[in-house]
Amino acid sequence: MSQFTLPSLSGLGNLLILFIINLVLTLAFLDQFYNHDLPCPLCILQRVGFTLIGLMYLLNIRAGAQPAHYGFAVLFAVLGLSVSLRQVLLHVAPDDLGYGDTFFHLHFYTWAFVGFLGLMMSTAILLIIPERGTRSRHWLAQLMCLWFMLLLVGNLLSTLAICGIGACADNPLHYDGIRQLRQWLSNSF
Amino acid sequence: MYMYLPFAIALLSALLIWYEKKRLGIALAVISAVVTVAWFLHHAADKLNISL
Repeated sequence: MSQFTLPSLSGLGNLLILFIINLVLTLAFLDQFYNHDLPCPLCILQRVGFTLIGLMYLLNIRAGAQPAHYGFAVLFAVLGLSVSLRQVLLHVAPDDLGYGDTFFHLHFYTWAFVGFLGLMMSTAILLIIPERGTRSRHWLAQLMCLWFMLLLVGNLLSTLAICGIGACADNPLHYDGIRQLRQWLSNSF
Repeated sequence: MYMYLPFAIALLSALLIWYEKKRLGIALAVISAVVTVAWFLHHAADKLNISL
């Protein structure tokens, strides 16, 4: 696809999925900063799952789609699905209040489970649609890719701020990484 | 092993993909997934309070 023509159906599908992944990761950030709802280790791993799937769609948009990319996207979705299912099962008992905030009456990890399932299904649909040039340098495609990469940098910094350079607390309440950095700076200087 | 590692590797992979280094990009994405699995196994050690 050139810079000025509209993308094909599969190209639009790839853009739409990357947009949805960007939206999910942005919503997670909004909840983290606006509601001060820090992500637990399993929540961070679910974000990694969405990021890994996004990488394969970034690859389709930047370098052209191949069945192998969709295959990897499904495998990464299975990984994310396993993490979210684990968290759903952790809190499935009747008296358990769950972890973190809810969004439309469901916890974020339950939405993540639905999201990973949806991404697997949409990847399967994209495999069915005839492949006609998903590679794009359209401004919208560039915007989606840059938005995704910005979220990736944000997640890296956020994880460093919450966990520092080690394992995360099971139920993080503060930005321990920033605290560790301050302590290290005050000890060093 | 560090919790930020999956994102750090994924960022390297994204940069390689941006410059169309496909194979290296995919390889790093797979390494990031392997690190994620290791972290998942580390954090999923507790027994679930349900009968399956």
